[in-house]
Amino acid sequence: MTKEAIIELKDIDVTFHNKGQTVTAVKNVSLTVNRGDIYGVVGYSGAGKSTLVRVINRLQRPTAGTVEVSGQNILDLKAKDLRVARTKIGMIFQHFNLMASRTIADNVGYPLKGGDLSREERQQKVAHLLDLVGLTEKAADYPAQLSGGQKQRVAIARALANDPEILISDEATSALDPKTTSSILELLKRLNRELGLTVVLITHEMEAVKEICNKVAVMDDGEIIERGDLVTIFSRPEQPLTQDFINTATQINQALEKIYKQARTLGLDDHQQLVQLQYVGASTDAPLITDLYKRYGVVSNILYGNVEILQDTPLGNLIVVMTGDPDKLQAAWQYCQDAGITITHLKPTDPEVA
Amino acid sequence: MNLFAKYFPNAVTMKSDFLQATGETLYMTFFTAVVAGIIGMAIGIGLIVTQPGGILENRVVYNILDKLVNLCRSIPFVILLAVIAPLTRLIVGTAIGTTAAIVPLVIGSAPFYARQIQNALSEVDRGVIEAAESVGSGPIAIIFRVYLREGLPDIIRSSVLTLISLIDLTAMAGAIGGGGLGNLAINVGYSRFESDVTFLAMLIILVIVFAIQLIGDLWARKVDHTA
Repeated sequence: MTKEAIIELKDIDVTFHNKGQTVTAVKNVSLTVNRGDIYGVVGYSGAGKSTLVRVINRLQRPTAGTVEVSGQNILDLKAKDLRVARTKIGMIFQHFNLMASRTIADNVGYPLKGGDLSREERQQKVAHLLDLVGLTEKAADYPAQLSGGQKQRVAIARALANDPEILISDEATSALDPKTTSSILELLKRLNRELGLTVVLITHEMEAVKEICNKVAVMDDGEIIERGDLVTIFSRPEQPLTQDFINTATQINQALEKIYKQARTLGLDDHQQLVQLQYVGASTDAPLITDLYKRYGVVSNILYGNVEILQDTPLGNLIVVMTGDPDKLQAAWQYCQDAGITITHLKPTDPEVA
Repeated sequence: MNLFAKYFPNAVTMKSDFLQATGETLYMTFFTAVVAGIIGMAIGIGLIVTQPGGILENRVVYNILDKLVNLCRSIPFVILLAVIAPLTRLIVGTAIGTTAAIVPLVIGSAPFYARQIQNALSEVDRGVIEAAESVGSGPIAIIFRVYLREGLPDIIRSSVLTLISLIDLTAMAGAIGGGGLGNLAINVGYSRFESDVTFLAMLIILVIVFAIQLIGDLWARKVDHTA
């Protein structure tokens, strides 16, 4: 896959004026998405993610900045050229936004109406798209008869009707249950792999990003506060908000909460320490716990363990109580750090999550 | 038939009058519906697309249309009939008669219909419009392929409502010289104390109204796929 930029947002500002009040939804954001990327934009609601991606196809005109998509300056386009450019940027939405009055086949074929294709060609294309998303037998149904996941598949087929190079997903899985979410994400990943589709995925769930994205940007209050490739962000998050998102996604937050409750009753002393071990890549394979016992006589009691596979790279998290002499514990931690393992000392009395 | 003659002693002798009056009422209703329908639909669409946040947002056009509709709707129809007479004479050649009645009827019902259409179309999900924009649809395509298509069930219901209120207006226009069932009920039945004539005219109007309501409901249900 070539590493050429397909979307380039530079210094984007979006300001809304409403009844004398000025709200800056996006502040000085630059973002480059390369061809073939699945780029996740994460943030809580109101962070400005939806506004930011609407700038890409000019559903939202930015107050300042430049937008280039496939080398074309989107902000300079005349209405007619903009419409042509938009056919190459598909979009799916949280609430699917299907037309209730049209059948599934008609919804999928909608973008082709008024185009160059003949009636037969259009029908063939719709049949192919429905097959791609696995809904061939629903062609004659109406959206009201479909489940949420099926509706989103229809919306994806519609977004792909004009063979776009980019697909923008605006909270597309937020209204779906976890299982359906996975299947939709899986579909997006397949489309990325098979059609070379570049995907921009907006979400407030780091789980979604974790499953399919190769890059991620975290937005807060209109700004991108952290960005990078998925493994780097997950293994070395710098901003507290990013850490919070990640800990929720890996369920460490939930685990810590339980452990803290329990730890208070455990009565840890200076021979016992609660630590979080985090390791990336190859070090997942080493028999660490056994090593620590053999070398330092330190006993590790595992309270929680989790391994994520991100972009084929394992990322492990362990929460353990280590028991041993204070100086032996120090040596054990040094050993861990030398092995490339990040150690965080957890204090059960501290309500803040590491 | 004897029973009918017993309860409608005057009406029974006026078969041709009733047929003509019913024809006139239908004639006024039909032509007004066509003309006012087109004008009202155009203004209603204009209001929707130019309103703040609309696909062709235009404050000036929106305000003009909005004020025009409000102005026309504020004038009581009976007064409008009189005020509009010179214009009617200019267009039709006379201010009296069934055809002449169509001019005030159009002016009286088109703004009402425009508001109904605006309400019906404002029910179309903004997200669906955005989805259409995102696949490259222009304003014309969005109006015809999204707004009018998605809004159809509500458009039908609003049209029924407007048609029924239009029949109400034809009766009023009829009473002051437009002909039709309203004319028959007031100028014959009421003025001559032949209350059976008034009553029969009312029954016929009721039948027409119920028929329109029934057909409209069935049609709206047929095109409504939301549930």
